[in-house]
Amino acid sequence: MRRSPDQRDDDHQLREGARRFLEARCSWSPARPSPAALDALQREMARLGWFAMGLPDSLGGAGADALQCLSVVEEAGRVLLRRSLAADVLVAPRLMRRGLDALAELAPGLAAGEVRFALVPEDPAKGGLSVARTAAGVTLRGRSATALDAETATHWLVQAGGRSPNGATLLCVEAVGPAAQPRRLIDGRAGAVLTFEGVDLPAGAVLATGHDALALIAEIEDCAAAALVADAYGALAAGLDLTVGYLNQRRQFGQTLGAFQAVQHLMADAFCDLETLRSLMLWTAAALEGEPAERRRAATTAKVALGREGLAAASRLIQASGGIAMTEDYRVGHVYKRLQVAAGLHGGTEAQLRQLATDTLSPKGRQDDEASAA
Amino acid sequence: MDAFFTDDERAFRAEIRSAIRAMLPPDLARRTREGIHLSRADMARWNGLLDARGWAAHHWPEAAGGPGWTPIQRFIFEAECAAADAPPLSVFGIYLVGPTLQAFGSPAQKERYLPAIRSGAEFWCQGYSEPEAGSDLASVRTTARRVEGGWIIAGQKAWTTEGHFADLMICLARTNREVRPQAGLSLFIVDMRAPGVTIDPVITIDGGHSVNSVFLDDVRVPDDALIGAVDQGWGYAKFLLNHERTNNAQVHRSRREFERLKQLAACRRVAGGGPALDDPAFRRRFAILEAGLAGLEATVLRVLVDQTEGREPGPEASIVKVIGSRLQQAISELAMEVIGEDALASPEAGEAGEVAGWTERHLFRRVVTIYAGSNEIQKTIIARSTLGLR
Repeated sequence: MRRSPDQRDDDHQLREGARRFLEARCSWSPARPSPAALDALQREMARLGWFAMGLPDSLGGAGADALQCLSVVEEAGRVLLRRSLAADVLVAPRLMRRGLDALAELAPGLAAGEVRFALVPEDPAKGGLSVARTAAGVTLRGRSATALDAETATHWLVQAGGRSPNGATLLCVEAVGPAAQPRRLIDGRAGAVLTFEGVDLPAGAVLATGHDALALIAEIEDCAAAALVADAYGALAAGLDLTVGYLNQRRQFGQTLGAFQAVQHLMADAFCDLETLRSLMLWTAAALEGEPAERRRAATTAKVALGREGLAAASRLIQASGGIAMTEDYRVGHVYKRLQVAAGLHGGTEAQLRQLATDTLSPKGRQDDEASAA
Repeated sequence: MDAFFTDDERAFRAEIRSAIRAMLPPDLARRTREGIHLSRADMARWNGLLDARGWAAHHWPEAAGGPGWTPIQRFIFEAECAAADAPPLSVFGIYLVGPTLQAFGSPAQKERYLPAIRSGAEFWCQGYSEPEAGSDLASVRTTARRVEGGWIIAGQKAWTTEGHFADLMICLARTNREVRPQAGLSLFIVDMRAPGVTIDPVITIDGGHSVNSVFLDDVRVPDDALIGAVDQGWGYAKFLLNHERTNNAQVHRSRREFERLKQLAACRRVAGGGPALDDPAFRRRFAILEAGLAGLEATVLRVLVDQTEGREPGPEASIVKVIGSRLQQAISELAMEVIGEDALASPEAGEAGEVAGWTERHLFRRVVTIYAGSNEIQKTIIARSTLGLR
């Protein structure tokens, strides 16, 4: 949050560059680009340095912090880019800073846009993913939660073994075989559920186990939430600009829609929601550089705001725009769908509220949590 | 929200925290918890204690007797005062009149009035609103007529908070009818004990008395009662609104109230027999408020970090009054649920102890979305000025 003037200059240049590129190369249109086109785009982004910037010096990176990585994610949200950048811009480079050798060797490929990661969360409600040790490595069994862009990824960062120190495992799995069942999401993005039916993996696929795995998984989830919020804020901010322009043009009853006070207040409410979301995103970005308790609190709070204020703002943009926003060819409805998907991934709003209650209400809850996270 | 602060600021916070705890008399803290309309004596006492440390006018420039803190340091100071249940300082002197006189007052006015504001020796009230000029402040009807050696002020002021114990009023009056409404207003200093000043109490829905009607029947003020130049009062009043962009968010009081409400909910039993704080429905509402408060805090800090680092605040500064006032109401609404039936006894029935003060606070809280520019006015400003809707 606190930035030196030099950092601010860097932030500004990064953001402006990202915006120019994204608007020129992938401005939103109702037609979905092909996976091959998105792969090609990803290599172009690599040439801009987006996937290397978060890497440490030792791996040829620029050591960009979370705020800078998130600003690229936010810009991608503005054009509703149909590929999530969270894993490649934010999460994977961070994990590579943690000295995980199996990951670090993928750094050159990531930087070049040839290696693409997907975050594969566990879904305990559907039985989760179990990990059994074998002589040669581990065997993975079960179904994942929805993973964005798992089909087109080259590597999966898989959370498995539940949330106890006895079982928790973080794996990096090469994306081969029929495990990914495509699940096109309502916002046009490609999701997938991964099914592992006793898949044998080499020992090298295991990045961490036990307490180390739990700590890394917690960090990944906080980063994932932060990225969803940044993306959602970008989508909303661009949607708000579009809507304001529309309201100042379209006339009914002899005046522009923007001149009606009821419409003005609707938009003012949307703006309050939007800026609240941005404030929490900035807090989370700063907290991603700090200690885990505040980091989780910030990420959880921001995710709650995404599901409440964010979605409310998106619905207000539809309401203010009127019928046109109900059409598939107009962007505002897609902003709403983007937000709806973001709110539901990596733990829905009610789950986040429960977490926030646990973390902030009773000392007992707090102790329990620390015990299970420790 | 430690992530927003530097190491120096965290050290500053520790220092302020222990100092405030040591300075604050327990009886003042108790009365701050239990009531919403504090007496002048209580406010003056705390003001004096702070002044002895040089902290009363904490957001004034050093030249005017302030401690020279950054906006972030002031945020920390205010948070610590609220967390300790210190009485709020009187808004009008420290926050409104002080900065106005510093910006527009004459050297003689500064010398005469600022020290007594800082020490808490003199209290001020704000004479802006009138029966016919609420949200539409430019339609002020009170007039100031030039006479030999001074002015004659005539009119009626409404919603004058603390008018019944104020020594002085900062009064907006019309000095020119020939120009557009905003251009013909001037700011005056009125002695509340001058002949022609009459004060009528107004009892608010919480049963309390903090606001008044003030009648100004040909009140004579001297030449040097005029602040700045004649007919420039509107600009001065607006300057101040921009100067204090985050104060009416009430972020610190809300955070403190919320923390106290959590403590209360840990021991109040609700239907089902357990404490409210263990009840899933209550926990959900607390979590929603926690998220809302964090959103407000982060937004205020965004504004203050910009100010501290010498940048103009962004458009987010325009939303803090709207979201802050809604949260204040949401907290007291939840308090009514936590306390249950006991909250329904009228305040004079004297429900003492832990639940005291919540009901009157809840009732009076309806005002926060009305005063300081109603939320509807704020939203219109956001839509037109910030978003550019037309």
